[in-house]
Amino acid sequence: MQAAPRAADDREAGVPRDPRRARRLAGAGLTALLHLAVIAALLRAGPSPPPAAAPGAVSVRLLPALAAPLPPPPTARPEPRTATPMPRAALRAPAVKPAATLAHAAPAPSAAASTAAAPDLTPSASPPASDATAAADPHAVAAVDDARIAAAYVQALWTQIAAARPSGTALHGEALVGFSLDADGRLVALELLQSSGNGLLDRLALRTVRRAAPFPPPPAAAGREFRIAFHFG
Amino acid sequence: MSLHHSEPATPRRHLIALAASLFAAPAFAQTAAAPAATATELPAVAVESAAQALRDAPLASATLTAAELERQRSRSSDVAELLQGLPGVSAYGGGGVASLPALHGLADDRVKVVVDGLPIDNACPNHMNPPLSYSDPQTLSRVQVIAGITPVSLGGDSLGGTIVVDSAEPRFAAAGATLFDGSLNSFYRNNGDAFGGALAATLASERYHLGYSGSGTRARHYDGGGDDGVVRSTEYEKYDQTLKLATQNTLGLFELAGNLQHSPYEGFPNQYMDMTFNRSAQGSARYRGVFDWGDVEARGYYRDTEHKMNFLDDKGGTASGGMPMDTRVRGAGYLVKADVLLDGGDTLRIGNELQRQSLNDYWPPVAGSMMMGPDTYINVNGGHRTRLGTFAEWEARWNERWSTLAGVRNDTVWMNTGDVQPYATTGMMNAADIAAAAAFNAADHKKTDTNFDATLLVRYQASAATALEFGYAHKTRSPNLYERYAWGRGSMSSRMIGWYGDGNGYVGNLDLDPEVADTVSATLRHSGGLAQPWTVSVTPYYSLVHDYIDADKLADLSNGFVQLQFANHDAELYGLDLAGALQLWDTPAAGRTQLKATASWGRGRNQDDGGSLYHQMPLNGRLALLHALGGWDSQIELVLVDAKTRVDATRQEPETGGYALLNLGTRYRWQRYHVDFGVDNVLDRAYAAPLGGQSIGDFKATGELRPVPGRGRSLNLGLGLSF
Repeated sequence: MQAAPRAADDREAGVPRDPRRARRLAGAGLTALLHLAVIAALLRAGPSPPPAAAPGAVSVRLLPALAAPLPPPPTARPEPRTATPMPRAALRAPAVKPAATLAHAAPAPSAAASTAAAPDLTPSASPPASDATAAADPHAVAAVDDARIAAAYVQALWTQIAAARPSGTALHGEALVGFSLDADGRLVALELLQSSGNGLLDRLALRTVRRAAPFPPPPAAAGREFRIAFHFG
Repeated sequence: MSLHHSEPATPRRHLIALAASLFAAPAFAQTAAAPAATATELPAVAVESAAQALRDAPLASATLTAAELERQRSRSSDVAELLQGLPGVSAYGGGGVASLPALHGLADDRVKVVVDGLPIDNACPNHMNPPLSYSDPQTLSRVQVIAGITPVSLGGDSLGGTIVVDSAEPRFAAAGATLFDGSLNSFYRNNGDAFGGALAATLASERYHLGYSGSGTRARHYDGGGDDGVVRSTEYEKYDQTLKLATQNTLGLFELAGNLQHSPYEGFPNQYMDMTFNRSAQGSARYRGVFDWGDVEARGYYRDTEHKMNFLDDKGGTASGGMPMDTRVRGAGYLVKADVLLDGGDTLRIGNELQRQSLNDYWPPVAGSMMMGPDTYINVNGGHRTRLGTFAEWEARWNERWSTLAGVRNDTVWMNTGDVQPYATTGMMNAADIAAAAAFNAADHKKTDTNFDATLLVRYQASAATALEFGYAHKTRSPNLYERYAWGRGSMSSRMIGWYGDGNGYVGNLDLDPEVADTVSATLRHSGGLAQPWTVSVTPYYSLVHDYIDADKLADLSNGFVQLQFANHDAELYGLDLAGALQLWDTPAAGRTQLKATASWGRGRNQDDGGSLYHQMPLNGRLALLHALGGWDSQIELVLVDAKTRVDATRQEPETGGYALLNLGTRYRWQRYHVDFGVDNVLDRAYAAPLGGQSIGDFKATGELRPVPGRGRSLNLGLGLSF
């Protein structure tokens, strides 16, 4: 915005314009203000307080590739773990893997999904397995319910993390992050399991999970420990 | 005394504490509570290579990816020419590697061009070495064009959109490994015997990256289509080299880059002069860090450009001395910006940049010439232009559907230059310049502009398939050094100034004000179809430019052209861009086939005289059928351009006829090798590009004036391998 209108007569006559001085001062003022804002923002953010949700409890191992050998990447896809031993009947129940469930619930989990609505998952929406009152085989039904509850929770986690992911990056790589939650869904541990090879991307992956927390309290069926990969570029 | 002694330590301690806290953010200690390997695995999250945020990618932006650039690079050595397939993009014709891009009818300095994050100064009174001439399509990895409302962080000192050019990002090896790879490419175009090659190589460890890319290209005059014959002054030769060193550690990613560009000659068919030498060296540094509170980026650069103009053979050569014109430009600057993450997914981007350019432009005397001697003609004497820009913009996500980006910036531009002198202080031949130099030297040259920009973008995500974006921008550009300080009023001296390719002479104007544009624009993007996905986007825009730097006529010149002086006028530009894509089929047997179309229509009007603004692209469009199967990747493209009948009478702009061009191209990729083959202008259609300008090279040789003819049929071959 020009701070002051210009007089055409001034321009033609070549008369020095006073409004210019005003504009200059306004410009200097704004520049100073913005500089102060920058410094204030840096000062405010500088001490980098730990996430409010879990003060002092989040652990991050920075750039393990540079500091120590990486742990070997896990090869097998683990099943959702339950807090209690799984009933035998579960073995006969149809396999409900989180990924399969997600494939239906969220058609393209890897596509841009920042606008995908988070599922309506509240702690009360995760009925404990003992509530199951099915008639035929209560053990089998309970196991299926457990798997469904776990899958729904996994989807909720994924949606929340995906919504916090960076806007985009020209850097390429894949980072694997592991994290643990407490009973309230707060982040208690965060670790880089496999480096992308680029420290910036590793930090973006860790920051994404950290900023997505806290999560809904995990149902017993979902366990407390999770891993998530980030494909960049 | 002791008080004074202890005081300085306090601020220093604060600074150290500030620095330590800034950089220590990510360095948490590891605890024993690390998750076990038996944890539940979530599906992967993909972070796309193209930015999705409003601040980086408004809906009205389009990107040429590395793959798309690869497919095109045997067709042209001019980045701006390749961009013309994108909606809203056109280009003023120039040398073979130096077209001046125009977005929504605003060209050259009105478009912000950022190469690897940095601006590049024009270092020539004819803008023969524009920013994009320092890039080669053979080595680029990404070009993004924002033809609509530009966020303030990507703007500044410009009116229209922004072009962001990026070379390859640094890469690192896995732990304990060494990475070595690269690519080798070459091309040949039979029209004009153009050929070139490029080598890119990367050597990297876990911590260090060393990257080299070099390219060279050379061409003779091309032939126009049909009976247009050879188009004079279209030869060129150019070499670009870049060496990049990068390292990563706990503080972030650090890069050092050196660029060297050398061009021994480049003909300009629509200028009186040719470029006979250009050497530009740049050193730059970049730092990026990711912290809990946000991201930081800092860049700094220094560039030294030596530029010479004279006549190549078509315009008379230099056997009798020709007319040497030398320019030396040194540029330096920095950019610091931070993205501060706020609660609720909002982001605050703040930044500060400095760009300083110092320019000397002098024309040595020609021995034995009555007109060009005995003194050196000093066109710009120690001119400098310093711009300090500061911006802040806030991206907010209000809910799942609404997000906004609001930004303000201030750019203060300081300009000044020293006194000048004509070729001679006496004599009739130099009378106009002698008087003009005296008047110029008597005037005050110091100028300070305080400019403010503001941008507001509002995006409404109606559904997963439909998005709508509205935007308003208030943008300001200060005149460049030549618009203010070119002073010569002789016929010849004024004809040496100008980047319009119109044959006219231009005189600077010390009283020029910055031009200020207010633009409103909207983009609707909708996609649909499951089996046959399709997408369409529409972008209407309207700009009102206060004090648009146009030109007023001073006098007729003896060769039929006119002498003009830069002057502020009010202007308006409006138009519509359309883009669409439709997948026709995608089966394993028949491959993937897509139909893509773009169309652009626009008008530019000088509100003071009611006439058209110079070089406004008429209605034009492209229709392309793309097919991919196995190693084959092919396309058929139809380029349609309407006749240009709205022309700028003040500049005697020529009308041009409508035309349709057919282009074919295919690529076969096999293991590490690829072959490109294509035919451009298959029907050898004779045409003149609407923004090609007047063919001065032909005019000087034949005395016959015509618009610069476009390239006739060309068979293009490309070969490449990666290792």
